[in-house]
Amino acid sequence: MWRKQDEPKPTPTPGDRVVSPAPERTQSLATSPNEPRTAAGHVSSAIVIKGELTGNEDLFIDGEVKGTIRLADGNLTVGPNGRVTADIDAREITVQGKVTGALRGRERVQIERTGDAEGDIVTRRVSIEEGAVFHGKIDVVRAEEARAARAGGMTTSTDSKRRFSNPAEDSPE
Amino acid sequence: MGLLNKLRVAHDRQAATPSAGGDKHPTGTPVGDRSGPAYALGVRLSNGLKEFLWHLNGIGNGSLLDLGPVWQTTVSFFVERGFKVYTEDLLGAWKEFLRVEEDRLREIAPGMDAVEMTPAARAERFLSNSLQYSPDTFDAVLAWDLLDYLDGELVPRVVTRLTELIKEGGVILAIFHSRKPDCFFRYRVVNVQNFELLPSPALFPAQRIFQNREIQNLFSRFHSSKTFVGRDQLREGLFIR
Repeated sequence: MWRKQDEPKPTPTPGDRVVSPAPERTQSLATSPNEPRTAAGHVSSAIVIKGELTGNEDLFIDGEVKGTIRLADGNLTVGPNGRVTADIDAREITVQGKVTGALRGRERVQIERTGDAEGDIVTRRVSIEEGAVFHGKIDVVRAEEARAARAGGMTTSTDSKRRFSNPAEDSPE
Repeated sequence: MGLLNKLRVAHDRQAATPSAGGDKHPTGTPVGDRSGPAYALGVRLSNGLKEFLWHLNGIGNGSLLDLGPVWQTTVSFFVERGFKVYTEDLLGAWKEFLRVEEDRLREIAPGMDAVEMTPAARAERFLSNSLQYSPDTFDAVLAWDLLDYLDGELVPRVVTRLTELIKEGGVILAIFHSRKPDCFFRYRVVNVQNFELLPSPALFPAQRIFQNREIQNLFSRFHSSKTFVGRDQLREGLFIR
Protein backbone atom coordinates (compact mmCIF):
# COMPACT_ATOMS: atom_id res chain seq x y z
CA MET A 1 0.00 0.00 0.00
CA TRP A 2 2.96 2.31 0.42
CA ARG A 3 4.42 1.63 -3.01
CA LYS A 4 5.16 4.67 -5.05
CA GLN A 5 3.26 3.53 -8.16
CA ASP A 6 0.05 3.64 -6.16
CA GLU A 7 0.35 7.36 -5.73
CA PRO A 8 -1.84 9.40 -8.08
CA LYS A 9 0.08 11.07 -10.82
CA PRO A 10 -0.28 14.81 -11.18
CA THR A 11 -2.27 15.91 -14.17
CA PRO A 12 -0.62 17.99 -16.82
CA THR A 13 -1.40 21.64 -17.17
CA PRO A 14 -2.00 22.56 -20.82
CA GLY A 15 -0.15 25.85 -20.62
CA ASP A 16 3.02 24.42 -19.12
CA ARG A 17 6.19 24.42 -21.10
CA VAL A 18 9.54 23.17 -20.03
CA VAL A 19 12.67 25.17 -20.51
CA SER A 20 14.80 22.09 -20.79
CA PRO A 21 15.89 19.47 -23.30
CA ALA A 22 12.95 17.75 -24.96
CA PRO A 23 13.33 14.32 -23.33
CA GLU A 24 12.82 15.82 -19.91
CA ARG A 25 9.67 17.68 -20.84
CA THR A 26 7.51 15.32 -18.86
CA GLN A 27 9.13 16.67 -15.71
CA SER A 28 6.88 19.69 -15.98
CA LEU A 29 3.97 17.53 -14.91
CA ALA A 30 5.26 17.68 -11.35
CA THR A 31 3.70 21.03 -10.69
CA SER A 32 4.19 22.83 -7.44
CA PRO A 33 1.21 24.13 -5.51
CA ASN A 34 2.93 27.52 -5.45
CA GLU A 35 3.39 27.68 -9.16
CA PRO A 36 1.77 30.71 -10.70
CA ARG A 37 -0.81 29.81 -13.30
CA THR A 38 0.49 32.42 -15.65
CA ALA A 39 4.01 30.97 -15.81
CA ALA A 40 4.78 30.37 -19.44
CA GLY A 41 8.06 28.57 -18.92
CA HIS A 42 8.70 25.94 -16.30
CA VAL A 43 11.95 24.45 -15.11
CA SER A 44 10.86 21.62 -12.89
CA SER A 45 12.63 20.23 -9.88
CA ALA A 46 14.62 17.46 -11.56
CA ILE A 47 16.17 19.71 -14.16
CA VAL A 48 19.59 21.34 -14.07
CA ILE A 49 20.47 24.13 -16.49
CA LYS A 50 23.86 25.75 -16.84
CA GLY A 51 24.23 28.78 -19.06
CA GLU A 52 22.24 31.80 -20.11
CA LEU A 53 18.46 31.93 -20.05
CA THR A 54 16.83 34.75 -21.98
CA GLY A 55 13.27 35.38 -23.00
CA ASN A 56 10.21 37.57 -22.93
CA GLU A 57 7.80 35.35 -21.07
CA ASP A 58 7.25 34.54 -17.44
CA LEU A 59 9.37 31.73 -16.07
CA PHE A 60 8.96 29.43 -13.10
CA ILE A 61 12.08 27.66 -11.88
CA ASP A 62 11.73 24.80 -9.45
CA GLY A 63 14.96 23.13 -10.50
CA GLU A 64 18.58 24.19 -10.53
CA VAL A 65 19.94 26.97 -12.73
CA LYS A 66 23.49 28.29 -12.86
CA GLY A 67 24.45 31.17 -15.12
CA THR A 68 22.48 34.26 -16.01
CA ILE A 69 18.76 34.87 -16.45
CA ARG A 70 17.39 37.78 -18.45
CA LEU A 71 13.68 38.13 -19.02
CA ALA A 72 13.16 41.34 -20.94
CA ASP A 73 9.51 41.72 -20.05
CA GLY A 74 8.80 38.61 -18.05
CA ASN A 75 8.45 37.74 -14.41
CA LEU A 76 10.60 35.14 -12.74
CA THR A 77 9.51 32.92 -9.89
CA VAL A 78 12.01 30.69 -8.16
CA GLY A 79 9.85 27.96 -6.65
CA PRO A 80 10.28 26.39 -3.23
CA ASN A 81 12.56 23.69 -4.63
CA GLY A 82 14.41 26.09 -6.91
CA ARG A 83 18.15 26.60 -6.51
CA VAL A 84 19.44 29.41 -8.65
CA THR A 85 22.99 30.70 -8.78
CA ALA A 86 22.75 33.47 -11.31
CA ASP A 87 22.53 37.16 -11.90
CA ILE A 88 18.88 37.79 -12.66
CA ASP A 89 17.27 40.58 -14.62
CA ALA A 90 13.49 40.44 -14.89
CA ARG A 91 10.42 42.59 -14.51
CA GLU A 92 9.37 41.01 -11.25
CA ILE A 93 11.31 38.43 -9.28
CA THR A 94 9.70 36.22 -6.67
CA VAL A 95 11.90 34.03 -4.50
CA GLN A 96 10.41 31.02 -2.77
CA GLY A 97 13.54 28.86 -2.93
CA LYS A 98 17.24 29.66 -2.80
CA VAL A 99 18.91 32.28 -4.96
CA THR A 100 22.51 33.44 -5.00
CA GLY A 101 23.37 36.34 -7.27
CA ALA A 102 22.46 39.89 -8.13
CA LEU A 103 18.71 40.43 -8.44
CA ARG A 104 17.54 43.23 -10.66
CA GLY A 105 13.77 43.39 -10.65
CA ARG A 106 12.70 46.32 -12.71
CA GLU A 107 9.33 46.53 -10.99
CA ARG A 108 9.57 44.43 -7.88
CA VAL A 109 11.51 41.83 -5.94
CA GLN A 110 9.67 39.67 -3.47
CA ILE A 111 11.24 37.19 -1.08
CA GLU A 112 8.62 34.92 0.36
CA ARG A 113 8.74 33.18 3.73
CA THR A 114 10.46 30.10 2.34
CA GLY A 115 12.87 32.19 0.29
CA ASP A 116 16.58 32.50 0.89
CA ALA A 117 18.44 35.07 -1.17
CA GLU A 118 22.06 36.12 -1.10
CA GLY A 119 23.22 38.99 -3.24
CA ASP A 120 22.39 42.56 -4.04
CA ILE A 121 18.87 43.63 -4.93
CA VAL A 122 18.18 46.60 -7.18
CA THR A 123 14.52 47.29 -7.77
CA ARG A 124 11.70 49.79 -7.45
CA ARG A 125 9.75 47.90 -4.82
CA VAL A 126 10.89 45.22 -2.44
CA SER A 127 8.77 42.89 -0.38
CA ILE A 128 10.16 40.55 2.23
CA GLU A 129 7.94 38.17 4.11
CA GLU A 130 8.57 37.18 7.69
CA GLY A 131 10.62 34.02 7.70
CA ALA A 132 12.59 34.98 4.62
CA VAL A 133 16.37 34.92 4.75
CA PHE A 134 18.38 37.61 3.00
CA HIS A 135 22.02 38.51 3.02
CA GLY A 136 23.07 41.43 0.88
CA LYS A 137 22.21 44.96 -0.12
CA ILE A 138 18.80 46.37 -0.97
CA ASP A 139 18.88 49.36 -3.25
CA VAL A 140 15.46 50.73 -4.08
CA VAL A 141 15.59 53.10 -7.02
CA ARG A 142 12.90 55.62 -7.81
CA ALA A 143 10.99 55.47 -11.08
CA GLU A 144 12.97 58.29 -12.64
CA GLU A 145 16.23 56.65 -11.65
CA ALA A 146 15.11 53.40 -13.18
CA ARG A 147 14.18 55.19 -16.40
CA ALA A 148 17.52 56.98 -16.47
CA ALA A 149 19.35 53.74 -15.90
CA ARG A 150 17.41 52.05 -18.69
CA ALA A 151 18.18 54.94 -21.01
CA GLY A 152 21.84 54.47 -20.26
CA GLY A 153 22.23 57.63 -18.22
CA MET A 154 23.92 57.88 -14.90
CA THR A 155 21.83 56.89 -11.97
CA THR A 156 21.34 59.91 -9.82
CA SER A 157 20.08 59.66 -6.35
CA THR A 158 17.10 61.61 -5.24
CA ASP A 159 16.93 63.23 -1.88
CA SER A 160 14.87 61.27 0.50
CA LYS A 161 11.46 62.79 0.98
CA ARG A 162 11.06 61.63 4.51
CA ARG A 163 13.45 62.48 7.23
CA PHE A 164 14.15 61.21 10.67
CA SER A 165 12.71 63.26 13.45
CA ASN A 166 14.87 65.16 15.84
CA PRO A 167 14.76 63.61 19.28
CA ALA A 168 14.79 67.08 20.74
CA GLU A 169 11.35 67.59 19.27
CA ASP A 170 10.06 64.51 21.03
CA SER A 171 11.50 64.87 24.43
CA PRO A 172 12.67 61.53 25.79
CA GLU A 173 11.22 60.14 28.93
CA MET B 1 4.13 49.38 30.76
CA GLY B 2 0.81 48.56 32.34
CA LEU B 3 0.22 45.44 34.38
CA LEU B 4 -1.88 43.85 31.67
CA ASN B 5 0.84 44.44 29.10
CA LYS B 6 3.44 43.00 31.46
CA LEU B 7 1.35 39.91 31.95
CA ARG B 8 0.87 39.60 28.20
CA VAL B 9 4.57 39.92 27.50
CA ALA B 10 5.37 37.35 30.19
CA HIS B 11 2.85 34.98 28.68
CA ASP B 12 4.17 35.58 25.18
CA ARG B 13 7.72 35.00 26.30
CA GLN B 14 6.71 31.72 27.84
CA ALA B 15 4.92 30.74 24.65
CA ALA B 16 7.98 31.56 22.62
CA THR B 17 10.47 29.73 24.80
CA PRO B 18 12.76 27.88 22.42
CA SER B 19 12.17 24.22 21.90
CA ALA B 20 14.38 21.63 20.33
CA GLY B 21 11.92 20.88 17.61
CA GLY B 22 11.27 24.47 16.69
CA ASP B 23 10.72 25.43 13.12
CA LYS B 24 14.10 26.53 11.90
CA HIS B 25 15.45 27.69 8.65
CA PRO B 26 18.00 25.30 7.14
CA THR B 27 20.75 27.77 7.97
CA GLY B 28 19.74 27.59 11.56
CA THR B 29 18.54 31.15 11.52
CA PRO B 30 15.14 31.63 13.06
CA VAL B 31 13.75 34.62 11.33
CA GLY B 32 10.33 35.95 11.86
CA ASP B 33 7.09 34.20 12.35
CA ARG B 34 6.97 30.78 10.78
CA SER B 35 4.78 29.10 13.25
CA GLY B 36 1.94 31.52 13.73
CA PRO B 37 0.79 33.60 16.61
CA ALA B 38 3.29 32.27 19.19
CA TYR B 39 5.56 35.18 18.25
CA ALA B 40 4.15 38.13 20.06
CA LEU B 41 5.35 41.60 19.64
CA GLY B 42 6.74 43.86 22.30
CA VAL B 43 7.20 47.43 21.19
CA ARG B 44 9.75 49.42 23.11
CA LEU B 45 10.22 53.14 23.27
CA SER B 46 13.87 53.68 22.49
CA ASN B 47 15.79 56.84 23.22
CA GLY B 48 18.82 55.20 21.65
CA LEU B 49 16.97 54.72 18.40
CA LYS B 50 15.71 58.29 18.44
CA GLU B 51 19.23 59.59 18.93
CA PHE B 52 20.56 57.16 16.32
CA LEU B 53 18.08 58.46 13.75
CA TRP B 54 18.78 62.03 14.70
CA HIS B 55 22.40 61.44 13.71
CA LEU B 56 21.23 60.20 10.34
CA ASN B 57 19.20 63.31 9.64
CA GLY B 58 20.43 65.02 6.54
CA ILE B 59 22.04 61.93 5.08
CA GLY B 60 19.99 61.62 1.94
CA ASN B 61 21.46 58.50 0.47
CA GLY B 62 23.18 56.70 3.23
CA SER B 63 24.03 53.07 3.77
CA LEU B 64 22.82 51.11 6.73
CA LEU B 65 23.91 47.69 7.88
CA ASP B 66 21.46 45.66 9.92
CA LEU B 67 23.23 42.82 11.70
CA GLY B 68 20.01 41.00 12.49
CA PRO B 69 17.71 39.04 10.21
CA VAL B 70 15.93 40.88 7.47
CA TRP B 71 12.57 42.46 8.28
CA GLN B 72 10.30 44.26 5.89
CA THR B 73 9.50 46.97 8.42
CA THR B 74 13.14 47.85 9.02
CA VAL B 75 13.96 47.73 5.32
CA SER B 76 10.96 49.88 4.40
CA PHE B 77 11.68 52.36 7.16
CA PHE B 78 15.17 53.12 5.90
CA VAL B 79 14.51 52.66 2.20
CA GLU B 80 11.71 55.25 2.38
CA ARG B 81 14.28 57.64 3.77
CA GLY B 82 16.64 57.10 0.91
CA PHE B 83 18.96 54.56 2.50
CA LYS B 84 20.53 51.51 0.96
CA VAL B 85 19.97 48.70 3.41
CA TYR B 86 22.40 45.86 3.89
CA THR B 87 21.44 42.93 6.04
CA GLU B 88 23.74 40.31 7.43
CA ASP B 89 22.45 38.13 10.22
CA LEU B 90 25.79 37.74 11.92
CA LEU B 91 24.56 35.59 14.78
CA GLY B 92 22.80 33.24 12.37
CA ALA B 93 25.96 33.08 10.28
CA TRP B 94 28.06 32.34 13.39
CA LYS B 95 25.70 29.52 14.32
CA GLU B 96 25.97 28.04 10.85
CA PHE B 97 29.75 28.48 10.88
CA LEU B 98 30.03 26.57 14.16
CA ARG B 99 27.92 23.77 12.76
CA VAL B 100 30.24 23.43 9.80
CA GLU B 101 33.27 23.63 12.09
CA GLU B 102 31.92 20.82 14.24
CA ASP B 103 31.46 18.66 11.18
CA ARG B 104 34.99 19.47 10.14
CA LEU B 105 36.31 18.67 13.59
CA ARG B 106 34.78 15.22 13.49
CA GLU B 107 36.70 14.48 10.33
CA ILE B 108 40.04 15.65 11.65
CA ALA B 109 42.22 12.99 13.20
CA PRO B 110 43.39 13.59 16.79
CA GLY B 111 46.45 15.85 16.94
CA MET B 112 45.94 17.37 13.54
CA ASP B 113 45.29 21.06 13.15
CA ALA B 114 45.11 21.53 16.89
CA VAL B 115 46.27 25.13 16.70
CA GLU B 116 43.82 25.96 14.01
CA MET B 117 40.93 24.99 16.23
CA THR B 118 41.63 27.56 18.93
CA PRO B 119 38.82 30.06 19.53
CA ALA B 120 41.01 32.84 18.14
CA ALA B 121 41.71 30.97 14.92
CA ARG B 122 38.06 30.09 14.63
CA ALA B 123 37.08 33.72 15.03
CA GLU B 124 39.57 34.73 12.35
CA ARG B 125 38.22 32.09 10.00
CA PHE B 126 34.68 33.23 10.57
CA LEU B 127 35.52 36.83 9.83
CA SER B 128 37.37 35.90 6.68
CA ASN B 129 33.94 35.21 5.18
CA SER B 130 31.77 37.61 7.12
CA LEU B 131 31.38 41.39 7.21
CA GLN B 132 33.12 41.58 3.88
CA TYR B 133 32.59 45.16 2.78
CA SER B 134 34.85 47.98 1.69
CA PRO B 135 36.16 50.29 4.40
CA ASP B 136 33.98 53.33 5.14
CA THR B 137 30.91 51.79 3.55
CA PHE B 138 28.30 52.48 6.19
CA ASP B 139 26.76 55.54 7.76
CA ALA B 140 24.95 53.47 10.33
CA VAL B 141 24.99 50.00 11.85
CA LEU B 142 22.25 48.31 13.84
CA ALA B 143 24.14 45.81 15.97
CA TRP B 144 21.26 45.11 18.37
CA ASP B 145 22.35 42.79 21.21
CA LEU B 146 24.71 40.80 19.04
CA LEU B 147 27.77 41.36 21.23
CA ASP B 148 26.12 39.75 24.25
CA TYR B 149 25.87 36.48 22.36
CA LEU B 150 29.07 36.22 20.37
CA ASP B 151 32.11 34.25 21.42
CA GLY B 152 34.58 36.15 23.59
CA GLU B 153 37.33 35.95 20.97
CA LEU B 154 34.99 37.20 18.31
CA VAL B 155 33.59 40.29 20.05
CA PRO B 156 36.66 42.57 19.83
CA ARG B 157 37.35 41.43 16.28
CA VAL B 158 33.80 42.22 15.20
CA VAL B 159 33.97 45.67 16.79
CA THR B 160 37.32 46.30 15.11
CA ARG B 161 35.88 45.25 11.76
CA LEU B 162 32.84 47.47 12.24
CA THR B 163 35.13 50.36 13.11
CA GLU B 164 36.77 49.94 9.72
CA LEU B 165 33.51 49.60 7.85
CA ILE B 166 31.78 52.61 9.30
CA LYS B 167 32.41 56.08 7.95
CA GLU B 168 33.83 58.93 9.95
CA GLY B 169 30.83 60.35 11.79
CA GLY B 170 28.89 57.15 11.31
CA VAL B 171 26.95 55.65 14.16
CA ILE B 172 26.36 52.23 15.71
CA LEU B 173 23.37 51.34 17.83
CA ALA B 174 23.98 48.40 20.14
CA ILE B 175 22.02 46.92 23.00
CA PHE B 176 23.45 45.36 26.13
CA HIS B 177 21.56 43.39 28.71
CA SER B 178 22.08 44.39 32.33
CA ARG B 179 21.24 40.90 33.51
CA LYS B 180 20.99 37.53 31.81
CA PRO B 181 18.03 37.78 29.46
CA ASP B 182 15.34 35.20 30.04
CA CYS B 183 14.47 35.13 26.37
CA PHE B 184 16.22 35.48 23.05
CA PHE B 185 14.99 38.39 21.00
CA ARG B 186 15.24 39.65 17.49
CA TYR B 187 14.66 43.31 16.81
CA ARG B 188 13.09 45.45 14.15
CA VAL B 189 12.47 49.13 13.73
CA VAL B 190 8.83 50.18 13.93
CA ASN B 191 9.02 53.96 13.70
CA VAL B 192 11.23 56.87 14.65
CA GLN B 193 11.12 56.12 18.34
CA ASN B 194 10.16 52.48 18.72
CA PHE B 195 11.63 49.15 17.96
CA GLU B 196 10.04 45.81 18.42
CA LEU B 197 11.38 42.86 20.39
CA LEU B 198 10.43 39.55 18.90
CA PRO B 199 10.92 36.51 21.10
CA SER B 200 12.62 33.88 18.98
CA PRO B 201 14.15 30.44 19.38
CA ALA B 202 17.52 30.98 21.04
CA LEU B 203 20.56 30.62 18.84
CA PHE B 204 22.93 30.88 21.81
CA PRO B 205 22.69 31.60 25.49
CA ALA B 206 23.93 35.03 26.49
CA GLN B 207 27.70 34.77 26.87
CA ARG B 208 28.29 37.63 29.25
CA ILE B 209 27.01 40.79 30.87
CA PHE B 210 29.18 43.69 29.82
CA GLN B 211 30.29 46.18 32.42
CA ASN B 212 30.22 49.81 31.34
CA ARG B 213 34.00 49.96 31.39
CA GLU B 214 34.24 46.96 29.08
CA ILE B 215 31.86 48.59 26.64
CA GLN B 216 33.90 51.78 26.67
CA ASN B 217 37.07 49.82 26.03
CA LEU B 218 35.50 47.93 23.15
CA PHE B 219 34.49 51.14 21.43
CA SER B 220 37.53 53.16 22.48
CA ARG B 221 38.33 54.05 18.87
CA PHE B 222 34.99 55.77 18.51
CA HIS B 223 34.72 59.50 18.83
CA SER B 224 31.93 59.45 21.37
CA SER B 225 29.49 57.17 23.05
CA LYS B 226 26.20 57.50 24.86
CA THR B 227 24.28 54.98 26.89
CA PHE B 228 20.57 54.94 27.61
CA VAL B 229 19.42 52.70 30.39
CA GLY B 230 15.85 51.52 30.30
CA ARG B 231 13.67 50.26 33.10
CA ASP B 232 13.63 46.88 31.39
CA GLN B 233 17.34 46.34 32.07
CA LEU B 234 18.35 47.07 28.51
CA ARG B 235 21.21 49.47 27.93
CA GLU B 236 21.24 51.11 24.54
CA GLY B 237 24.64 52.26 23.41
CA LEU B 238 25.23 54.80 20.70
CA PHE B 239 28.74 54.96 19.34
CA ILE B 240 29.82 57.65 16.93
CA ARG B 241 32.99 57.19 14.97
